[in-house]
Amino acid sequence: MVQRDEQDEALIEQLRNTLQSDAVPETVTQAAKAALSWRRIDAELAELLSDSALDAEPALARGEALVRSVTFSAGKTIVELEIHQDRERRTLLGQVSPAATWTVEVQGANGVTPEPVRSDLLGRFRIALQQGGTVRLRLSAANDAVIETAWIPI
Amino acid sequence: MSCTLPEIVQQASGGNQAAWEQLVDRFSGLVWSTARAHRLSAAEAADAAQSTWLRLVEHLDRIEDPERLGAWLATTARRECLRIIRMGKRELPSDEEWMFEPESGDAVEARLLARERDAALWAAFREIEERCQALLRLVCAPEPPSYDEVAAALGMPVGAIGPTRARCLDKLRRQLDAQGADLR
Repeated sequence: MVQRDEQDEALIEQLRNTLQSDAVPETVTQAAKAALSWRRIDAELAELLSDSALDAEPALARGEALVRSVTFSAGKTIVELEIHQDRERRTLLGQVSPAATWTVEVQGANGVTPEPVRSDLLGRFRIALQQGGTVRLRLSAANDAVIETAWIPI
Repeated sequence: MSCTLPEIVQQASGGNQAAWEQLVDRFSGLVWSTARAHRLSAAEAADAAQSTWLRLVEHLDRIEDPERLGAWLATTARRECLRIIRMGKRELPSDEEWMFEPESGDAVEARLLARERDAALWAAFREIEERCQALLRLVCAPEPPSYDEVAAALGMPVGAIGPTRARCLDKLRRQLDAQGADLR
């Protein structure tokens, strides 16, 4: 058994050498190291409650476009998102409840973010993005409440 | 460094960049190998890794068991991989396909084939069943992961890792024999 273990370890070591060529790319490590700058400082986290892309069921198809629905919650505040995808473009249709006016900003870990939008009195908002990426929403209310959602790839 | 993992997590949670980089250096191989074990392409694996690290930043102040941070990262990385696979409406991994997507400009294979012994092992490796490739990839990650972490990365019970590892190594050895390869 001891000999068997030694053989196994030797083979593992050889395989480790062979697979070394697929080491973590430097850009991936750098991005990981930069991620700490996205620490929440002043905002409450809106946790991911559900994401249809995480469900076992296939995403709902509505016509040609693929619609994905994502829900976040921070205490009593619920943020619902529909993500419509058309090739590279993404349209986010959101609803914050309880209804109130929020300023909504998309933050992208890869940089480019559009101008913040304001939700209507019912808490609805719409944001168009030229491309997907890993993003989160930062929502600010008139009473200084700030919420940041969990990151999601879109 | 003499700091324990919980201490490093706490420092990173307070915004200490050096502590954060220690975490990244220690676990980036595990996160990357998890993504690759799910047969994500280099670009998709980069997205999965980024999402995983952002998720950790998000939860730094609420990690319940910092000693098991590796398993937490592996579980998170696996979930991100499954989400990316589903978002892309990609087929879940099947046994017929090779675990690394062939990519133009991916120099991995070229580098591998540069050495004959590597080439023989590589050829045998890609012939064994995919479950085994995934498991052995994890086992061979830099900073060798614990069974706990491997189990989390693959969504397998911890108790199954040891026996599966032995079985997969046997398969690899038989495949090498079948190819007439001599690794010594």
